[in-house]
Amino acid sequence: MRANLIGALIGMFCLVGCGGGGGSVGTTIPTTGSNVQAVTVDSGPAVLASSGTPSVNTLYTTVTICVPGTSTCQDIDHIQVDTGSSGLRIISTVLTLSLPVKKDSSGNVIAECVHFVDGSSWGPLRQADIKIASETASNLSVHIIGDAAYQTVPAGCTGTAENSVTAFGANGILGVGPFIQDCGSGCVQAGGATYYTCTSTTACTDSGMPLAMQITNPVTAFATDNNGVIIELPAVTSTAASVSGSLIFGIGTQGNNGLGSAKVLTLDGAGALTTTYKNQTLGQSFIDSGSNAYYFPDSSIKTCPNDNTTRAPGFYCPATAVNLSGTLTGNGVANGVSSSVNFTVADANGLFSTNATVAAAATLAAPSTSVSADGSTFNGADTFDWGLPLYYGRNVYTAIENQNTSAGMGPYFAF
Amino acid sequence: MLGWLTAGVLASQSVCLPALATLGEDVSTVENDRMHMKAQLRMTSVAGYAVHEIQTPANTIVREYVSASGKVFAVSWSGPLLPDFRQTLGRYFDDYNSGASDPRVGRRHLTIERADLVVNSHGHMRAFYGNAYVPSLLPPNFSVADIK
Repeated sequence: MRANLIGALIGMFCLVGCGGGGGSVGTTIPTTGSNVQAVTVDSGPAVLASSGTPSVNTLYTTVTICVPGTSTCQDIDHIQVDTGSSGLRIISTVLTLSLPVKKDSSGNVIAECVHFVDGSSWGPLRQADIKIASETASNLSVHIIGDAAYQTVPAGCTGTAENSVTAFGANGILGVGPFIQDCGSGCVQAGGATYYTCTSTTACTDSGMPLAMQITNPVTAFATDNNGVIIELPAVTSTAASVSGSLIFGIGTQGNNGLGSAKVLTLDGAGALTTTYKNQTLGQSFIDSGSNAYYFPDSSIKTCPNDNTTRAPGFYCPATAVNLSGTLTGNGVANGVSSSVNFTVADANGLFSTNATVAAAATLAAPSTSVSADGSTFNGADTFDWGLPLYYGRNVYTAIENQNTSAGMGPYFAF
Repeated sequence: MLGWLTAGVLASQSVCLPALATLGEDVSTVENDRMHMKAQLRMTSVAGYAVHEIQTPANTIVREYVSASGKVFAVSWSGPLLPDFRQTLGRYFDDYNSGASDPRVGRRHLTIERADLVVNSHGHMRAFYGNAYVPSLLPPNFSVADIK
């Protein structure tokens, strides 16, 4: 997914040195501390590169997962760090532990079909203790994708199945977004083909799920440092073979996670904010470490064809790199704050034109609209998706809904 | 089905006409969608086509664009959950599914451009939006930019 677009690539390379400098706020990225977790942008689980679909702009970490209340644990690497979702999901084939299933009040097993625009992932919820840095989330419900015991995918769980490491592009995903539950009020009633209850491993029914039973953001289950996260990555000039940084838990809870001069961009109930780009006001914009590029509408920038004749189908491919800027303002509680971002879009095909590894590409971008045969642009989605390239060289804060911080209640992003 | 001849007038009615549908099918199938989604229906008409708007219990808005000849030529959606594509895309569902496996631009953005089907789909859980249309069924002089 995030990287498969460039799946035709056999090899990639490092155009420019891997960024090693500090963030835009001029501080050194902490690498030690009870709330500091190492994160990496690299080509992903080995099976991705060997199958010709190495990851690009995908942020990973390692999570320790344990049988609840025991010291029977397993470290799982290459878990994608995602500020665009909430909750921990693991691809079943990388899991060696036997974890208990999560049941509803009627004793039926809870399962979930999590939908993406290009497919869906299916499996039951199982309970585990989760350890990241020195933080622990006990008895957390974890979505086990592709679980061997639950291979009957319900009809409503439509779309291309993304139940394997190669299809998913990671060994799992750590959703540390601005919301407590993964779905929220939209899943409290049945009919959304998202939460299911199962009377057997093969008989699962679309069901409403109370908020308290939904998959939750692991950060909110920590005893401390539980009001949000910061992702700190060094600047990247053009491309890099790998990037190392930190995922820091808590905002203003320790000496290493203060907001400083970061600008707070408040979010609406959909997690959206507004981007002003050229003459467009894009009110459904979002910041998302789980998106592998900048996605925004600009019919003046040439795109690569959406087929296998290019190494970057559908991405922006300008003949020469273009320097652009957008201004972000919050959609939530009005605070009069806006933040301007300068960025560069380069020829995506050119970024991957040699055989060296390219896991990070700071100038990768794609349209969030399509252009029809008659030349008119579909603009139904007023969105600017600020993906992982935004994070290079910035400390980006995610404050969780209903959690207090020194800058007020979440949800917000700040940088 | 009175609506689409109300040329030039954006008439909005809170009515429950039997009026929802599946992409590429007749307008009569609109009601199937409404029933399937346990949704509420609102209908607006503009020059040359009508828009049937369904709101699901999860507050996802699905709009179905119906031509003067009674065919659903486009659908759009916006809301916390994706609509049931097997229902809303109908005979085009398999094309959508195979198109989603083609070279693409990531898990949160999908564009499918085929001769008989165009799909734009964006977002993540809690915030999905997109549209699908059949180029050969578009009314004369219709701009896809009007699919909202």
